Amino acid sequence: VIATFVGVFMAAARTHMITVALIALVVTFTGGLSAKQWIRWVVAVVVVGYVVAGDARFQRFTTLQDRSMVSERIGESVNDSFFDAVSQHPLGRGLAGRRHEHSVFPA
Amino acid sequence: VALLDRRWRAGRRRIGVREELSRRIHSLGLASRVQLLGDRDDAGRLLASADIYCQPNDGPEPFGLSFVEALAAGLPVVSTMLGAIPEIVDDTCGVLVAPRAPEEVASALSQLLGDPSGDSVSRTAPARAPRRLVTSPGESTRWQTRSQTHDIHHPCSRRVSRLPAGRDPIAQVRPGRHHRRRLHLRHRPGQLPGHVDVFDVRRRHRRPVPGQLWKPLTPAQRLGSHDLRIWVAVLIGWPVLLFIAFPTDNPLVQAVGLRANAFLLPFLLFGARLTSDDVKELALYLAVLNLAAVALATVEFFIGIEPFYPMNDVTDIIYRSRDLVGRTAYRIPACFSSAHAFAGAMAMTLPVLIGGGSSRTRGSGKRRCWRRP
Repeated sequence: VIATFVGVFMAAARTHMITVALIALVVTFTGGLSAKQWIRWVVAVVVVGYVVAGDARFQRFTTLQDRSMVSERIGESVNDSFFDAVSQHPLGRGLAGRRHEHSVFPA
Repeated sequence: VALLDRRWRAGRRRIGVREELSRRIHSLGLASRVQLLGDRDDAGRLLASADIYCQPNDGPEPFGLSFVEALAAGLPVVSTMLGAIPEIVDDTCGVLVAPRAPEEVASALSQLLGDPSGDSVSRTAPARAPRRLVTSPGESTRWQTRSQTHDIHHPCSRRVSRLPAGRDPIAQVRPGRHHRRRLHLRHRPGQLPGHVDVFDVRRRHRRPVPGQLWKPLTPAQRLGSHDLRIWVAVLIGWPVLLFIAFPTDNPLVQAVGLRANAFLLPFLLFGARLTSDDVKELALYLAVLNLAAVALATVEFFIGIEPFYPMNDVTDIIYRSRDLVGRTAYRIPACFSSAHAFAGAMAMTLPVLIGGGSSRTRGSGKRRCWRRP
């Protein structure tokens, strides 16, 4: 579990950082962990936190604090409203959707 | 069969002796009365359609699970007085004869075939089956279904009286040839001499069973899959509704979208059939894969991506992806796409890893909601 958390932060993909953060919250508050599992869980979270805090490459999630950047980034990827997308592409846009050219990914 | 004067059919599941049996059947003129059914996965259906279960062993068995299955199916049993069989079958639910005495087998079968009402042998077979396996008459059918879907989770402990005390049970006990493929006998540390666990190892050496996904869920599986139903309904209903009600796109494109959703359904069905032990096993495999992937990523993290991706026209996109820490570091394992694939795979496995590591129940199919995929 620790390696998996570190792997996500190592890849520096903010979307999946949010995902694992949500999973961590769900486990923490609804997991029904026993005392022994709580200890393991806390140790895992502390170890992951220590590793992530030790290198700026793991901390790309901090850019999510920049609201204007997040809005702009989402605006680039999601340039249709939900209802527009549903009405025009009811079964999903898949990989053929507009603005999904590979060259925009690194940006 | 040759000694019987009635027309009836006998099935045989063993393989490897088929040619010899076929030759003898034809030489005795029994081709119209004997069917060789081969290796079957629908033993439950066959038992349900049979009138008698006959397995005249010529060697002792430490335990006869097939006899319990037959009793659970409500069949009278004809077998021989060897090994543990008399502990399972008595005159209330079957007939035991001397080994290697085909005349006695034929006589017992004739007696039962001539008594379709079953008065001579009690038809309360489930009550005779070991309580650890069949806890109630209604449970017998479910147990039989679980057995057929490789999802049975005893161990049932049973004393093997023929096992010499103080001897290694694994070395001494040889499962009968009928069960050798399915059963494994295990001696636990501290267990009384001569006492072994009989458990099903098909979970360890399982083979894909055609059509297994479409068999009815057991009660435990049905209970465990309750919160998956809404997702199954959405995955089926959403594209079907839009395909019919709002045909706004090219039908071919819609069909592609429908196919994508349909891909997810088998995974939901697989998930519904996973027990806690399955989740643990799956978590173990995923943990190994994740550790290997993170180990490689760690190497790349410390020595850089250049040794992995020599700079050329093809890998140019990777080197244009340097967007970390003020564009001084690269993504792991390569560029935006592979980083998201890597992190996505990690994130998707996390619920299974946590669930497999924190499960308290074993073999009951009981799971917490956050362990759902």
